[in-house]
Amino acid sequence: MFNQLVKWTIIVGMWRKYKRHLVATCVLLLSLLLINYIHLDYLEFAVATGSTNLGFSYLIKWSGFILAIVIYILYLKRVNTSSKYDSRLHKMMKARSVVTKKEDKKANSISDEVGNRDPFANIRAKKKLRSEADFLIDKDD
Amino acid sequence: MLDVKDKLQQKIREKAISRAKTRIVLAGKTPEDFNEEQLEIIVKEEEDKIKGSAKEKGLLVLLSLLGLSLWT
Repeated sequence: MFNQLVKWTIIVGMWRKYKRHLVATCVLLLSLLLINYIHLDYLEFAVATGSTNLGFSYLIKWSGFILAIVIYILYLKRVNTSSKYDSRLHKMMKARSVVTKKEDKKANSISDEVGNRDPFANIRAKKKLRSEADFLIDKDD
Repeated sequence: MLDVKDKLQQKIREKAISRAKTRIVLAGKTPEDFNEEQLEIIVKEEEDKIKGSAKEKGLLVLLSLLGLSLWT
């Protein structure tokens, strides 16, 4: 029973996250198969009619394959880029950006007086950061 | 090998700082409202979250690999 639960959790989780990727991959495989079968049919037809000029058909077949793969790659790149900024957090950030722009102008005039200091500069350089518990323990010592 | 580890650590740190800034902005404050200790705590929390989610994703991959045998 637990195995079933784990199985379906994984399936549902992967479907939700990678639906577009999976569908695009299926479409790519189907289109490659279709191009292949069309080419095989054409070869049979060509052999039946006694045609000897088959080189061009191979060129078209492979161009079709390459085109399908390129479209697939470009589509996935677009999906990955758009999903990067798709989260609820980013939508909230976008909504806030209009409000914070006015606050930024005010903050900038103040920071110009203080000097443009990055508050995270020292934190970037530290090897290991301390947690709240570490600070409390150090304080008691 | 150490370079790779350092670079990875650096990337995680930058990501954590970026998320910390976002979190602060969403709370309606600025990083200047906090002292260095408080900022360090916030960034540490975000770092731990990033490392935790990386472990979870690794576990999911492992489970899905194991899951192949669950079907048989």
